[in-house]
Amino acid sequence: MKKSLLTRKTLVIVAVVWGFALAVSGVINGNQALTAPDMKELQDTVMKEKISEHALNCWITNQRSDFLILEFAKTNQCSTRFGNFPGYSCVHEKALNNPKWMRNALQKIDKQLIVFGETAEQSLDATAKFKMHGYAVRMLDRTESLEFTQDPIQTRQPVFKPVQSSQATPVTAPAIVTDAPPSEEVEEEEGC
Amino acid sequence: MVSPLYKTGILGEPVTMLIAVIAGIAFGYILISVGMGNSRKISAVFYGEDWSVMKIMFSAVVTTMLLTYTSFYFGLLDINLVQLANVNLAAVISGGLIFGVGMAIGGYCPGTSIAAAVTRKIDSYIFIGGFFVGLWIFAANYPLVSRYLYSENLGKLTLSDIFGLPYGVMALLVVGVALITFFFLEKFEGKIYRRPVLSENNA
Repeated sequence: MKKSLLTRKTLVIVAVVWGFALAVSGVINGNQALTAPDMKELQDTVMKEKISEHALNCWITNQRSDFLILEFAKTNQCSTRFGNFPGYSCVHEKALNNPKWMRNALQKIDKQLIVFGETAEQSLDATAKFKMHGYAVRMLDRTESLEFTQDPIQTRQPVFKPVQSSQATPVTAPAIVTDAPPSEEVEEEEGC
Repeated sequence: MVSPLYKTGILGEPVTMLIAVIAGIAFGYILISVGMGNSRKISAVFYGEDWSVMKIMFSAVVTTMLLTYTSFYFGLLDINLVQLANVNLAAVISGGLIFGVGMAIGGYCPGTSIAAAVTRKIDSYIFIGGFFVGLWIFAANYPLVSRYLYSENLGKLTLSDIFGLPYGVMALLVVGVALITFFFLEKFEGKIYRRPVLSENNA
């Protein structure tokens, strides 16, 4: 009986101490891991697999629907370049560090993601993070600057919310993704 | 190496299935070892007679939670890839009620009934038959009930999201709640109701 009581007390102390250690980790680092994963290798892969703006333009012009475009914006304005594409979404970059958004938004995505941010560094970080989570993702190389050859036809509902309209709109809090239609085979098509 | 190992592609499907089978057998063995293969012991929780079930379940929740968030903070687990069910309020409330009534009447939950079946408990066979009938009724009426059940979808929620607290702080709070609950369970266990003990001649 005494031994049992001692075991119980020990377990209670272990649980409380362990809980306090986690609470301290939570206060210090929020909902981020204390040890950041090494992204170097993933970033190298992302750089090798990046897609040019010209190639992406061609996909849109050819009305391909097997991919989504995701822009991460740091400031309060998204770019208007892909605003007419139904699979385009603009999300605040904070979403990348928001486990709730990641959990809700990412689990249903079954299409290739084309990701970009305001700067090359931001694009690389965001794309590598998606890659780490196991998604088929490519970084948009924005060194070129080509305009659409024609307006893409809006045939589907956007996947991410809030979705930017054709006009520039302020970035708001990230929200939940709705169901994405089944994926189609992605062809590595760089030209029109 | 970051887990979940299956989702990050480190483990393939066959190995994952094998691990699931081994974990299932271990889980069943532990359930039987701690008396969860006995319907009288399980149903005793509803009479306030024996709260072992609650203590075991709460201990399992706390242990898993501490290990999960420790793994997360040390970068061993990608918390975003851990499978979470959507919180459908109507489904959770009605499912919980049906589950609770079934558990109080039958003395088993689905997992413990399988464990009890291994030890050749006849009542568990009937219970298992019952939940297959329930499954069939649900499946046959799915188009009708799904409209109601999935009407209040709140997405994938955690306590941390609801209270706006970091995972670690939430973990400490859950530990606190568990310890307080254990304290009161110990204090009132067997004092609310005690089933009459049948003598050998009456049994």
